[in-house]
Amino acid sequence: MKTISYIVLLLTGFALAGCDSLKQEVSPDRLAKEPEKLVVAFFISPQDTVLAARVGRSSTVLGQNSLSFFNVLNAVVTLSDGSRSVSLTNAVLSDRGFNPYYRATPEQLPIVAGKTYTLTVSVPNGQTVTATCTVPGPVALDNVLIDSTVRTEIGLAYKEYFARLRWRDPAGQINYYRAAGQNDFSFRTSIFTSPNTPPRDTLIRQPGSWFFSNGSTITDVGQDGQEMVSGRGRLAVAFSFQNGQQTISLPQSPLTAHLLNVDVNYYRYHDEVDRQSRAGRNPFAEPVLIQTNIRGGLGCFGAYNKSTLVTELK
Amino acid sequence: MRSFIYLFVLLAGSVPVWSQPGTVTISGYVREAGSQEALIGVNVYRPGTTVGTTTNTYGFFSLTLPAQDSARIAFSFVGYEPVVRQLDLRKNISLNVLLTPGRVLSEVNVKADRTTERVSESAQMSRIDVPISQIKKIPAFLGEKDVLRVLQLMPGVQKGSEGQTGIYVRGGGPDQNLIILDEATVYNASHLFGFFSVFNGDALKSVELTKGGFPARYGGRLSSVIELNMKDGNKEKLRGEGGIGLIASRLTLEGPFTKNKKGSFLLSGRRTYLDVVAAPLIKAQSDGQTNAGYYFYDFNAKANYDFGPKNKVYLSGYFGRDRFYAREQTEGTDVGIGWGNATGTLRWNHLFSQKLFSNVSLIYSNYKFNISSDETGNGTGGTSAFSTSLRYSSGIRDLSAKMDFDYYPSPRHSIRFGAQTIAHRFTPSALVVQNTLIDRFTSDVEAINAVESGVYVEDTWRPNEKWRVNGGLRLSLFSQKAVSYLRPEPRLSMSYQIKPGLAAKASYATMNQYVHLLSNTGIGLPTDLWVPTTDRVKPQQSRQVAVGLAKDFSDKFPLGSGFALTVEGYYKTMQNIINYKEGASFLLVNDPTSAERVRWEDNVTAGRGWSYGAEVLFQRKTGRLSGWLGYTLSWTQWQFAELNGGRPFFPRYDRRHDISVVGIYELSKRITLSSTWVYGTGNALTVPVANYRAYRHDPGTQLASLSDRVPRLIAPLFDFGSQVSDYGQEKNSFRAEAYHRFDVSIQFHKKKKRHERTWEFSLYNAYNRRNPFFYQLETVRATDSRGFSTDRTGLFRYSVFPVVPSFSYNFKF
Repeated sequence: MKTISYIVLLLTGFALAGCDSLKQEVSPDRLAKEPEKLVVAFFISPQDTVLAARVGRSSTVLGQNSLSFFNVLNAVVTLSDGSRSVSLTNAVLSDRGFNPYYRATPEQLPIVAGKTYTLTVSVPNGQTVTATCTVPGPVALDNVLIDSTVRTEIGLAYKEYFARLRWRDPAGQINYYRAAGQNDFSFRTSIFTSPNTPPRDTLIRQPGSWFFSNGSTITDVGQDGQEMVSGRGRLAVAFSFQNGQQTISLPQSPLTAHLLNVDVNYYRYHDEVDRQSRAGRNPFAEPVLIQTNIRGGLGCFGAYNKSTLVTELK
Repeated sequence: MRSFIYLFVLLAGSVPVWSQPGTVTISGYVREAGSQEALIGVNVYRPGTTVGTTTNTYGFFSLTLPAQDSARIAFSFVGYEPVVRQLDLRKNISLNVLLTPGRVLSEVNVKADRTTERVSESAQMSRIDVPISQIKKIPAFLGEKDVLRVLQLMPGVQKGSEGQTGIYVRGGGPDQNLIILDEATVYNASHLFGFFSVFNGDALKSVELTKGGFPARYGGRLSSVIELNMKDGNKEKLRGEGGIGLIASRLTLEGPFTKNKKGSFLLSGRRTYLDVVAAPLIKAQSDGQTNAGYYFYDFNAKANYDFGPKNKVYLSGYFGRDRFYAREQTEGTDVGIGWGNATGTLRWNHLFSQKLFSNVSLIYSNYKFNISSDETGNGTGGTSAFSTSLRYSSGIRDLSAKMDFDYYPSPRHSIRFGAQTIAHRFTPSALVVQNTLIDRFTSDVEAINAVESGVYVEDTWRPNEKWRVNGGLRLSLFSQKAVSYLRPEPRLSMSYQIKPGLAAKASYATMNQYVHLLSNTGIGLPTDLWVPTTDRVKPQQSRQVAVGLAKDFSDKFPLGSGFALTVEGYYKTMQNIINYKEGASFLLVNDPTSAERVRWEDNVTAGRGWSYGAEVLFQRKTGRLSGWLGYTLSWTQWQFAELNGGRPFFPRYDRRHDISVVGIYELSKRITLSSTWVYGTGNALTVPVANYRAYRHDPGTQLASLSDRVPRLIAPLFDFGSQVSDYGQEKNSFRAEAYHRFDVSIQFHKKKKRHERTWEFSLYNAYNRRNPFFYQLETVRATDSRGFSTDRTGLFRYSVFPVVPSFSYNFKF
């Protein structure tokens, strides 16, 4: 019995030894060292009235946290179609400094379906990234299907409106699409309409984008050459609480639907950014890697061809 | 089924061809002396020759030899004293043999020429069996002996995360293991989120894992077959054993239930009592308002009856349940999560002749997971009374019939053939919500019925002294709604004896798997969901070749007798394996409160994988010092069109090196020492290396009619951006730190008047290694000497178990 009591004593000692923290910081050497990279977002289209690119910088995960994500204001952004090229100028001041971007007009370099464009972004410290993409051809949006459902949530029933886009996929090629749309909605709220008057109930009419809960990107894999229908996008409405009653505004005409025939870079980037954002910090979700076609950098240089259909809500 | 009948007729018709005159057949059962427990895998042979056979799962053997005046036949089995019988071989003999458990300390007793099934003398390779008696001596976490954890200590078999019972065999996932308990499939073998397995060692007779060279009688999973057999129950007298541990206690009773000793039973139960201990504390903390806890229990029962030499009937069952509950009185909430398996098997052994043994089984298996949540408000404080109740469940249920025949036409051939059909019923999710405000709401994903069948024939053929061949074919058939698959699965294993005690082996096997497990946590969560093959999700398929050497060391080996060494190399390909898509998780698929029901098929993606490696096992099953040394060198890669940009990557559990050392030493009759040391390369994980803001194209903004009165920030063409992580170029490019751990235990045995007791003290993770469970990036705030505080992000490792001491008291009567 003596042996046993010694052992019990010994085990207690071990139990105490195990009491320090089960959470420990480890040396960052195990993580691949990633230098700061240029992050570019640039989407070109024959239908656009502006060529606009955003340039930023990534920050390494470990170490001192930077307060904001760096916008890069001193980059040289050049777009070329092989024979002609245009430099995009820094448009920081045109947008009150909030969302700096680089711009040029399509007149300076027209965007044409089927053509391949090259983007070069360089910064004074010598970092240069490049990317290419080819503009897809047009695919006509045939029609838009609108329906509504009554949904009950926490005991409250309300009506939701949805739109689906329908089109025919061109056969014999891989196509990538993105569905989008917007509508106006109006609501009444009290706001200060001029400096020295009390707030007034004002009817506000405002545009809003459709929300595709299952992602707005689609491929024709398995449906080549067939008629295609997008996932449903919820029309924009306003929710407001007045006197304890929830009121929901109706979507208003016109409904503007866009079918974007996008290139693979555009598709992957949007799909992956969407999925990574939706997975959030769920530790059990399979991590989403965001691929990039920016050589030496991050982000996306993509192209699309837009087909728009405006319908009236009856 | 029809082809099976043809096959049977064909074989039955061929019986006379092999029943040549001038031969006699010896058949019967080998059992343990004192308990009459049937012994599986006993060697029955003519000493000095390679003529022999082994007993089957029911202890039956049949050996046909040329007629002669007399011959010596030996019966030997690991841990038992061998028996040699002088038999008159002029007519057929029915024989029942009793083997006495050997005293491992007196090694002189173990001097027969073959005490164990020698690895160099069987055609089978890639098979692992660990005697239950040895399992009970190996150090265990919190003293709970666990067969699956012991299997994890074998080469080619790896654990997942710290403390988990999930098994990864040769690059395959935990879903690719066929776990069968008395022929019934066990779908979720974990208790307490994978920290314990559902198998109670006291109720088990044998456990065996096959990781390659699968015989044709097995099918349905890609990577391994883990076959567990429950004890039949002592036929001589009432016996019991049990234990009291830190978290659970267990008790097993077995004995005859008829006076004529033809029938016996076994009852075994185990329950944790963490909830009982914690309940008063939780109650006190919450002023008696909260009652919460967790427990699991399992229960094994078996009965058998011997209707004479030709017929025996077995009925066995398992029932286990995990339950977590929380009741809060002030808020009127009552939440419960429960899951568990239930299995039942009814078997009938029938002996058609001395050479043809048959077994018919009817099998039931059910796994169910459910969540319940009730909320009641009594309407005080001006609110109206309300109540909400939610019931969610998912599961799988199997009904199955199986017929197996063992036919022993001559000592050169042992033929097995049979058929099985399983009716699966999958319930991916069923949700019922009832509320006083809204009406009853039900959302069922329709239960899916599917039928999986298999027909097989295999022959273990010994063409001469040197060669052994096990060849076979399995035809598997799966049908669900409009889709059906019929697939042939050829199997071949062979061995060539280079010299006595040394054999070269090779094997090939094709396996198909028609049920899939949706799980991306890598730990045994009860939410892991079994789903069938459908028109969109194809069956998984693997092909594996293995080659190896098996060496049995002679008694002159300097370390002692009974040592065996196997070295194997394998290459395995896997097609149509499934994984969650990037961004998907079981929360998305299983979330009972999700408004939009998501089809699980939309969240999975199929790909292929391959694995290759080498395994070394140096083992001794009996003796004063027993145990093994295992080493695995392996590579596993996956390639999925929708993961990692279509490029190959290392899955989480790719493990370059895996080492295990297990030693059991009988210091004296009263003291047993044991220890294990394991080492494994760290898991391959995906960890962010950089953050950036990703701006998406906003197709709408440009055309929007703008209201001047509402000031808005408009980023032309772009949305407001989201902060995203850059995980580097390749998926799973971060390697966790290596895992290693040392466990040690000491057992004190004492024989008392009426019983035998064992005190066991053990240390899990004796040198207190902080093994990684997961990693997380976290931001910490640091204030410098001037009072400025800055945020800094660091990489943190979370561990689960430091050194964990434990003790338990075990008894046997």
